[in-house]
Amino acid sequence: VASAVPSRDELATTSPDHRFRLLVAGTTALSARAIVNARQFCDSFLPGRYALEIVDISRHPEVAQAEQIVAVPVLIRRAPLPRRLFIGDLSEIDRLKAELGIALAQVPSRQP
Amino acid sequence: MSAGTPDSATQPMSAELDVDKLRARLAEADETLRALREGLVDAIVVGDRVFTLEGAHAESNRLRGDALSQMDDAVVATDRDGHVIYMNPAAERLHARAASGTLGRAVGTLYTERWYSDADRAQAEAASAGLAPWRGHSVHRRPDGTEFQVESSISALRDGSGAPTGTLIVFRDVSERMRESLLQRALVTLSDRIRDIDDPADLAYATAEILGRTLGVSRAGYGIVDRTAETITVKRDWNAPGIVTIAGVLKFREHGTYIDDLLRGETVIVSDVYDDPRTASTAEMLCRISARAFINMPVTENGNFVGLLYLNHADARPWPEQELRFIRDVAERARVAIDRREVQQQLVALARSLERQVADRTQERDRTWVLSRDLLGVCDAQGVFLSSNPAWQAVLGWRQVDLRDMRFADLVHPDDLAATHRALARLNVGTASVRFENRVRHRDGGFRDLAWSIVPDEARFYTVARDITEEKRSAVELENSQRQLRQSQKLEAVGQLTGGIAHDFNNLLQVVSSNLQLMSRNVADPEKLQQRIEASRAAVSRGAQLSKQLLAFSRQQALEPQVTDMGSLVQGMADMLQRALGEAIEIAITVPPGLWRTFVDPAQVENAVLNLSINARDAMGSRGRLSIELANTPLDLAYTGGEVDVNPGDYVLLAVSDTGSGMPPDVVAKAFEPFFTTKPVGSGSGLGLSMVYGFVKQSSGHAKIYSEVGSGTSVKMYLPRSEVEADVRVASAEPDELGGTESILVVEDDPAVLVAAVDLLSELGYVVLTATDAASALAVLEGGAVVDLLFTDVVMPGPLTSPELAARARVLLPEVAVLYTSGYPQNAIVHGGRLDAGVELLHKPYTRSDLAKKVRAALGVAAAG
Repeated sequence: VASAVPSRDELATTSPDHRFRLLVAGTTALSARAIVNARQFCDSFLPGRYALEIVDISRHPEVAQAEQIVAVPVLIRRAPLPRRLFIGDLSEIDRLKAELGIALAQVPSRQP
Repeated sequence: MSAGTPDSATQPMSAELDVDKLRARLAEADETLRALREGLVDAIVVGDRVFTLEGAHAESNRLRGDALSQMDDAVVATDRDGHVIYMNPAAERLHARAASGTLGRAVGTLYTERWYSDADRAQAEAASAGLAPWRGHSVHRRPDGTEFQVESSISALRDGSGAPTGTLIVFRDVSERMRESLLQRALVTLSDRIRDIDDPADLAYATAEILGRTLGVSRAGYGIVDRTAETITVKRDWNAPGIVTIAGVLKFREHGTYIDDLLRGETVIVSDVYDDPRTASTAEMLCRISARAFINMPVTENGNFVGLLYLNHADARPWPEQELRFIRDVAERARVAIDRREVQQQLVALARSLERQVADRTQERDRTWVLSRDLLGVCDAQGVFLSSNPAWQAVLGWRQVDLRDMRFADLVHPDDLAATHRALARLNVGTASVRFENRVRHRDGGFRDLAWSIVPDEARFYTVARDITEEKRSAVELENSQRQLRQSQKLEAVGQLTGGIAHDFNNLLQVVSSNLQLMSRNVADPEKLQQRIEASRAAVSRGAQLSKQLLAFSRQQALEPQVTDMGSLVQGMADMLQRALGEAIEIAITVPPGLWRTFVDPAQVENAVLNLSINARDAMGSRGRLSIELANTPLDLAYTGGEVDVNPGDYVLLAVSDTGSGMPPDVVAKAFEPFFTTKPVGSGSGLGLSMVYGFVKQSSGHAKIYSEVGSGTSVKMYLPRSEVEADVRVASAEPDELGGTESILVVEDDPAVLVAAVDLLSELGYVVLTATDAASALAVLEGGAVVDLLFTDVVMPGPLTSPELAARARVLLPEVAVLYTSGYPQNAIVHGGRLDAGVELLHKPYTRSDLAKKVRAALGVAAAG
């Protein structure tokens, strides 16, 4: 039972400089992992500076068409431009950081 | 293998922009292909369709996924940092949060947890950290602040090497269940609380308090409702802290229109008085008494609305079905408890009353035992009296100690022993009680007559005996005096006859005396002497015959009914009657062949005939005709229904009729009364007819008098047919009660008889006209009425006689048939010159079938002629 509308809860952030859209297919294993990883990544490296919108394309296939996407799960960076795609469960944090050009200096603590 | 384009600080040219875009798209396509190759993709979008890809372990993964997604229990998995990495649909439902909004976030975004104890908290945290799993209860609070109770199981998630990688939490919402058990506990508490309360008012308060506390409302209470005044009276209610009681009398109409629903027996449930149309206009009023939300539940007794259980809450509040059910349960228990209390009080009162009654009865019984004049006793199977009351000594002289050494058989008169044993033997074959009489020995050696009633009970016999010695003697004396009375009646009758008999004897003596005188002169003439002797002997023989009859009649006989041939009995009286009544009275005795037997006392029949004959003689002034007729007469319901104390059945009719002066109706009505007489003082006792009546009634028969002043009297006695000879009866197989549609003019002066005749004829289908005498009947015919049959009484008042009426009718209607009816036997009618022989005559009383038959016969004859 995925959300019926694109989840926009992360928009609460007042002035995000990073906007992401994560397209998933229901609650398949990869998709679920992608959601967990995307959120952890953003919270770790872009705390308070990002907006993450999660769209279930099994309910909103029109979003996939508009984004010209054929494979999910996929994280789309919509801002800053240029647009970037990251396909998969987003478990390769180093590659994500490299692609997004995020400074290593902002490594958060992952241990409680 | 890079999917991105290098960042460029410079502003690209337009052409370069297109190239960059293409390059970017190409990079995206490359990235897609790489991801597909590496198995990083689990779904592909083609157009508007989504195809889910299945990897190598997809099958088992999917099974696991399906199982988790179909579980009712919520499942949430977190990583070691407490971020949600999995939640199943049940968890989404329970918290009203989508997985996509929660995955990767702290569990706290889904709920915060509150434990019931610090120990629980410590154990749950230890379980999360990978120590011993914890299973227990806690409260989850959703981000919107609502709470629910959960039963959860917390354990560590481990990787292949067994190292903890996170936490698995499985839980379910047990709020409903907890609430249910809370309510159940409240019901148990209620039962415990009200068990020892006797006063219904205290009981109502205890109930209200439990309701109020359990449901957390502002107020609960019970009030008595006055349906007519539409008020509720509350003695005492339960109020939450800070809430003011509403005890007192309240008018329903001041608080809304919902009283109408209550009167119909419906429970009124209002979640917010501002929203409900029944209370919207009185909402302010209700809010002032802390009843923004309320429940009013009618309490009925035998279907009547007598009380009201109410719950008020100061704020708007829903009333879930679960709570309503609980309130109904509580109300029901309280009602049952109150009922039971009332029944208990009644039972206690009843028990006290029973005790008193038992005591009273015992006292009464003891008193009865001591004071009874009847001999009461308890006897064992051997016939020994275990106890006996004081009456034994009073009546028989035996003391209780004397009786202990004797058996019942020792007390019974030797001649009564066999009969007594026979009576007692009936008890052994299951008879509930026996009654018998015997003689029992007195202590002084004499005997007393006792009437016993004995009831067995297990091995004992309860006996009641009454001394009937005096009664027996009285009965014998009564029997004697009755016999003497009968005899004196007979002698009186004989006395009545003596005139005629003396005359006869004088004649006889005259004959004998004359012949003796002549004989003395004719001694020499043997032939003449012989004649004289013969004449004398004949006279003496007649005298002897007469005296024999008189003796036979006057002899004392026991009253003993027997099967009797009335024909020969009555014919045997002819000679005596003729002599007793005199030559001027003609006696006609009619006995039809095949006369039924009766079961009567012959002496009584003789007595009755003699008495009636004497009455007839007196009525005729020594000149006229006495008819004695016998006939077989079935009486049906149509006849007996109109008479007192007569049963339908076969009877032998004995009618004694005269052509004398007759009696007016008022005399007829009293004729059967004892000592009623019309005769001069000294000439009759007035007991004759009453004796006849008594005898007939005693024989289960029926007596009736028909009389017409100036015409004569007929006394009819119906004596029951003897069943000994039931086979003699000639079966009447005719289709009796054949009716018709002709018109009939009924002429009858007796209104009761007229009505009966009209009813019977109408039932048979005839058209019926009526007249009460001959003159008015003639007027009807002269008026132009056409009738087929003239059905007329023979003897009627008025100048015009029945035969004259018939003759005049025939002139007017030549075809008319005539049927006469009369209470007098045919002989008397015909002989009296009232009718010609051969006319159709229907005897009164007639049965329905007699009437139907005669009418049909008369009409048939007319039709044929």
